[in-house]
Amino acid sequence: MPQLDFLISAATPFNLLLAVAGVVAGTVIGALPGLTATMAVAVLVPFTFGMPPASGLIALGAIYTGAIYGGAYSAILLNTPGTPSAIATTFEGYPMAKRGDGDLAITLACIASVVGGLVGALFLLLLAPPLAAVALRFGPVEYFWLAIFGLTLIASLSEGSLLKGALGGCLGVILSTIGTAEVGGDIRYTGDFKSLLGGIEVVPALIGLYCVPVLIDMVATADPHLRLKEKLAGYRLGEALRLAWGSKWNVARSSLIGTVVGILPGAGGSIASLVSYAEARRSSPRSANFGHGEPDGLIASESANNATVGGGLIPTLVLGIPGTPPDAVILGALMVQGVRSGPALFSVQSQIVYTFIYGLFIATILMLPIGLLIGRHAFRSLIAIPKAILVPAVAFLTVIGAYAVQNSENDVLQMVLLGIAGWGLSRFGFSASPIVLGLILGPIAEAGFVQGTLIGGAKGSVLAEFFTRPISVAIICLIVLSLFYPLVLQRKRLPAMRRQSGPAQ
Amino acid sequence: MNRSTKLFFAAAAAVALAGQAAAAYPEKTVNYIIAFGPGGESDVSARLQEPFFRKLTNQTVAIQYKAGAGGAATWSQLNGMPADGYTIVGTNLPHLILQPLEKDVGYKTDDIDTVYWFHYTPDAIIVPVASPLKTLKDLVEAAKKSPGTITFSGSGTNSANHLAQRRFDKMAGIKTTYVPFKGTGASNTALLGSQVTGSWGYTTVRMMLGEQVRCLAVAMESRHPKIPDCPTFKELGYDLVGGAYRGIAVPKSTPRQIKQQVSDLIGKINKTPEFVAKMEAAGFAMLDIDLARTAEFMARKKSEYEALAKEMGIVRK
Amino acid sequence: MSGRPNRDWRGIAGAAGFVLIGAAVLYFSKDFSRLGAVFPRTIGWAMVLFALACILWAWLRPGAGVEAAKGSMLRRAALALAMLGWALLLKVVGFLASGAVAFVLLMLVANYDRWTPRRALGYLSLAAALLGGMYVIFRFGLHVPLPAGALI
Repeated sequence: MPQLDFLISAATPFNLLLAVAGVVAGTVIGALPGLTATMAVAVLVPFTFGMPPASGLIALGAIYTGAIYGGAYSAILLNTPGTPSAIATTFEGYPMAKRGDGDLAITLACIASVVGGLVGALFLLLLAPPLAAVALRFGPVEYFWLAIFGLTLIASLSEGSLLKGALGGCLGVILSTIGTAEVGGDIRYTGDFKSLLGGIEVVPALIGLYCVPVLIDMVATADPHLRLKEKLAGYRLGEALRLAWGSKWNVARSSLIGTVVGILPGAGGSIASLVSYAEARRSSPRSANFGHGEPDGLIASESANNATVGGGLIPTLVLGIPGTPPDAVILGALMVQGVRSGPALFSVQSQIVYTFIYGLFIATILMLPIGLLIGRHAFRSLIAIPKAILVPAVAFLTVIGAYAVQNSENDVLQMVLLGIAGWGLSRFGFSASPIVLGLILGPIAEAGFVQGTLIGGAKGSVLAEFFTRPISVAIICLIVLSLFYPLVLQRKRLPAMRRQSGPAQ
Repeated sequence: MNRSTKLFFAAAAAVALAGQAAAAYPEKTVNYIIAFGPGGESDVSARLQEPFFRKLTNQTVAIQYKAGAGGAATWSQLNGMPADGYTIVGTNLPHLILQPLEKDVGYKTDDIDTVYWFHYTPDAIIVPVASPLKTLKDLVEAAKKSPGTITFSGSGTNSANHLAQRRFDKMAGIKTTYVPFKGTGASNTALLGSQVTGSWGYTTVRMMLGEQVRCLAVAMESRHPKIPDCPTFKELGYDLVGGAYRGIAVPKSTPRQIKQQVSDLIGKINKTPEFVAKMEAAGFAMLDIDLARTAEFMARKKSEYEALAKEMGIVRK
Repeated sequence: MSGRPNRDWRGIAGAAGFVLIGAAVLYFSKDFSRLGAVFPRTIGWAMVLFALACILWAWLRPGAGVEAAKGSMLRRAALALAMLGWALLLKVVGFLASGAVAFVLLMLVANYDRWTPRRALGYLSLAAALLGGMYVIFRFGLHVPLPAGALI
């Protein structure tokens, strides 16, 4: 049983210690807005060079998975995704916290993250090489359609008017074209500002659009930021477990989506959590509650984003292509260590790989007690801190977080300006999420479009390139389905709803 | 005092000064700023330097990232940083020459004082291992048969990869299609998935992707020691040598003596056999352009790239 | 307000703004390369069309828009200005100095309790500990080159 040996070598006291330290550090870094999982991993890299490769990898994997989970804290408590992967967590997490269920939301996020992480790691353990081959079937055209599919999610994300959501999405895409186009080389919409040549960075924009409006509204009244339902009821673990078990299919589906999206290089945790959120909303029996603190949406987002950890490591280890941005850093660390990724890694250096994978399992499981403990403290202190400290402290975090992404003062200015603009737009009925979706998906769609056009042109037919590749056709069908399914559903439900709500009005 | 004793004292003083200075640098942590995000070639090579830096000086380096605008965010601020030798910045070619030509990026090529060019990643044509193109000759013939149908993935528009594709197309008299991607990772994905015929990448790509790919030719003077089966363009009759060059710069106002110390230190690391072995295993090719020769090197590269940039039509009007 | 039907006037105004943005997007795309212009132009047109549809919809379908913001607009504006000033001065004045000033300003904006010497002292020491702690973590723990500026 070589597998058992790998498990044992993963569970040495030193490796366990690394896993615990990694998860703790990752959770804390991830919880701070602006400090992303990529940064958490990058900070740790130099410390791993003195360790054996497998131990170093375990530490990196632990901090990575912890950071993805930690992003949920600020998403739930401050409406600010701590990492881009937690964008969809804000949709239900923050309303839950607002109505007094913040403790429940944090516990639920922890459970969902652990399950999602385990599913992703399981696929990494069992099916890595064949799944990596799937990732390679996705060419530029497939990414183009995938991004367009993602943009149709605006339909299910816009609160209120669909048209306003669409406008927000357009604005996001336009914002993403600002600066020097890496694909194509055009310099667009910079208005001769040198500081705009590099474009608008996603993470500072996220912080601005989500967190600054919260701050602006926080100072307007004396009401406490978050309410408590009754007294502090502890972890509410039993309740959370029941909820999670009640939507076990949601957990399974979201974890699967997370793994698959993680495998696709160039997609990543934010897209994984958004897609599973939209899917959960479509299929949940309580879909009407979405947007008002429905636990199903939170579960979907959190299980999906942690599943991308295992999923993203599949192309990283098998092909030498980073699946997600933090994987790029891990790949660099592997190069420095002299570990050669590639198909041979699983046979020639199986000791390192499998020890690492089991270490990832252990770290993910450790996340349950650690996450619950840290989450409880985070929640309690946020409740206890008076507004006069909370506001400047959070503002401070947004500033330093926006700065630290690229160590750039310009990003701080962009963050604040976008935040104020976002608050203003919300007063006109335009919400932030469609803008963010456009900002993230716009560049993927455009790069895919330009590359697909160039490749199609070289092959003789651009149209054939875009409309005849099997995976493309499948995604196009999904797009059509997702656009028209709500209409079909509405037609079916409308009479029923009229009957139900008739007497009440 | 006659002339020779004068000379002797002068020399002795110089030696003493140099000795004192050499002992004094570095006496605290050196900030090493990378103009790109973590995980790229600039980061990896800095990480490889780090342990040898520590071993040789008993001091540490703090590697920091200040990405943005393709490196220009850092380089435009370089001359405002402390000029004491304790802030050093990674520099890249052709970026330093092409960016100011293309647009106003806040710095000019001559503003940047690189004190040592320590390695480069040579350009290379890479194809998937299953590709029917076995040699560079196959590729050129295929491209001549049906112009424009051969596609190459590469990292970015107007980048080192893009430049190499243009140069080679001209030399071989062929027409191929360059498809820009965001970064090496995305370009490699398209390569492995056979979305493109091949890739204009670097020797590091060949090392990273291993046996999944085949290298048709490298733009080096002689073959890369770790990729002996891949011929150079020169062997095959094309005078193509180049790639992405990486160096270390300090602010322009740094005293000459400190510049020399930084240059000497990087040079010392560069001559450590262990370091060279690690760099070459990752696919890098070593380069030793020290302070005395950087000016001449830059002048040569500048005229070379400027001519190319004009041809490609990327020079700002 | 009785003379006007109950319409989403704010939404209409916002959509009108988007028509202008869309037009600007289209106008400034005139110098882009062929491939570089496809995307902004498509989105620009989509923006104009969606915005016009939005106006039409709000006109035909009376209904309330967003409810008015509750609470003090003055405090909101003060917070926005303080953060804007902070972002602008970060590089000029330096990280610690600008941070300390902004922290105190925001504390004044966000405080609804009566200031007593004890409260002031307590808050200020908390602020100092938070700022100092974060500075040390970022500067030395995470190796973030924080802006130095003229002061600190």
